[in-house]
Amino acid sequence: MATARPVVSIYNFENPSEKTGTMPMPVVLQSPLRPDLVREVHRDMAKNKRQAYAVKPKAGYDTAAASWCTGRAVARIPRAPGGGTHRAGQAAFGNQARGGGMFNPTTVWRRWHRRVNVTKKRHAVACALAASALPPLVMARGHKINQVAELPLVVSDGIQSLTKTKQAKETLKKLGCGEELQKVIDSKSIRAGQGKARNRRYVKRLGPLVIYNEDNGITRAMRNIPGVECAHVDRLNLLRLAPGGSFGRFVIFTEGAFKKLSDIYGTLKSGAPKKKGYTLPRAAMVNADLSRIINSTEVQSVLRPKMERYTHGIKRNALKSKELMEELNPGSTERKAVQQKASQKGTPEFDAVQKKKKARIEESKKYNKEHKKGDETFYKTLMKAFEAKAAADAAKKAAEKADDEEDEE
Amino acid sequence: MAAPDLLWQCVKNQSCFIRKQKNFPVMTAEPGNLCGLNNFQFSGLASKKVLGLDSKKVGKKESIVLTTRSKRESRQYRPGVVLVTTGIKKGKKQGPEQLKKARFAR
Repeated sequence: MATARPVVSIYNFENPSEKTGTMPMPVVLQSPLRPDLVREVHRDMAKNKRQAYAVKPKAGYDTAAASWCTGRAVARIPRAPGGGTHRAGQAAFGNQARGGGMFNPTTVWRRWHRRVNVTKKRHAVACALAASALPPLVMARGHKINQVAELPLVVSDGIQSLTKTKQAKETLKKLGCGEELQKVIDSKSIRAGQGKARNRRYVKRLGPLVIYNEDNGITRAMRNIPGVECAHVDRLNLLRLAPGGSFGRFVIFTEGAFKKLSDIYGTLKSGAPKKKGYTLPRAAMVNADLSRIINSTEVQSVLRPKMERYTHGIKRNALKSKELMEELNPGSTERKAVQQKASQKGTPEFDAVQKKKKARIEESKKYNKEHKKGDETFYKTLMKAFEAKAAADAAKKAAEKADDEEDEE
Repeated sequence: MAAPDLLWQCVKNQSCFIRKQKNFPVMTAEPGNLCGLNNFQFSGLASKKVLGLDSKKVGKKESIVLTTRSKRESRQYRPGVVLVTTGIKKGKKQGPEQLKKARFAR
């Protein structure tokens, strides 16, 4: 967000319809939104409050069982020794045996806790705070904030001195949290699962988180209101800011706490005064509004013009569509029309064709007369040549025969 | 306010309004969503251009209500006032005219 920081109104806790002042939004509340980071850090942080559970180390192995080996018509599993009791000779040790140990016994030395890098944790908290300042995200998380005047909701410091729960409840209702508080009350139900028998009988939704600077009674006033939680601004817990790993908790700040956020986290330039060596996270994209970027004059002015896309209409068959045939083969319709006409008697085209035909026949006759009748035809000339040669050969042969006869006499 | 694209990425899989069914597109129950579909186009949470159409019953009278998002910068952080509802006339011509205007004003 490179634009000027928005200004947040502070509401009078006694009369929430009036504002007692304004404050610029701290830079923390404009941190980049990183749901993936918050989820990851929450996942690991949530593991840190676990208590170990395991089966007893000796569970299932506290017998002097030994296998009977082969030859006794029983399975080879270790069996309890001795006699005089049902237990004697019964299978022991294996996970399949009754009274045996479990497969892969749960151990106390399982890695229960996870360490998370301090910077990562701080980034996650900054991100979760930023999300709590955006109405769509708070709504998406499920909080009923339609009656709330403004987000982030900042209330004057007087609220920190409330001591009575009744007053606290009224103040919250006047601030617009009535719907939210009612949602929590309505959501109380018995837990599904064994937890109900393990002192975790009821579950209910979470309501607003009140972040204060000085506790002059506020925690005790708020603690019995179902759903409401309090947190000191110096000690913000991601598990409260992003319950279940989903950011966007409905947060109510007191004036002092809101001011202190700037003192703790500072700005991107200054770094965080109260957190050594820490600077607020920077967004990967300062302006993430893609549609605005794409439609901006800076971008649009250097784009090449949009390419014309050739869209193919329905494929047409030229043999069936006369228009398409004319497009592809110009003049074909005309030619076809002429051909058509030529077969109709009486039309000039017909006469033209007949005339041509006649002329052709005449030519042919003339040629035939010239070349195919008389003595000068191709065949006759060919045969003449043959005959001449044949006669010459015959004469030669006769002469030779006459010579031979002479020789014999 | 954060960019609409960014907000959509945060909200598209993780929102209390999402309703899922088998063999059915993902739907949302958020106010300001015209089709109830879980899309960026129609999103009442992430998008700047919000259009919602509902019926409202007050006593015996049932009216058609159009929901749009205020363009004012100051209203973006005020959850109660950011979505503006206007009534739609039930007349055969007038109603659709108003809707057309609203649609193109989006």
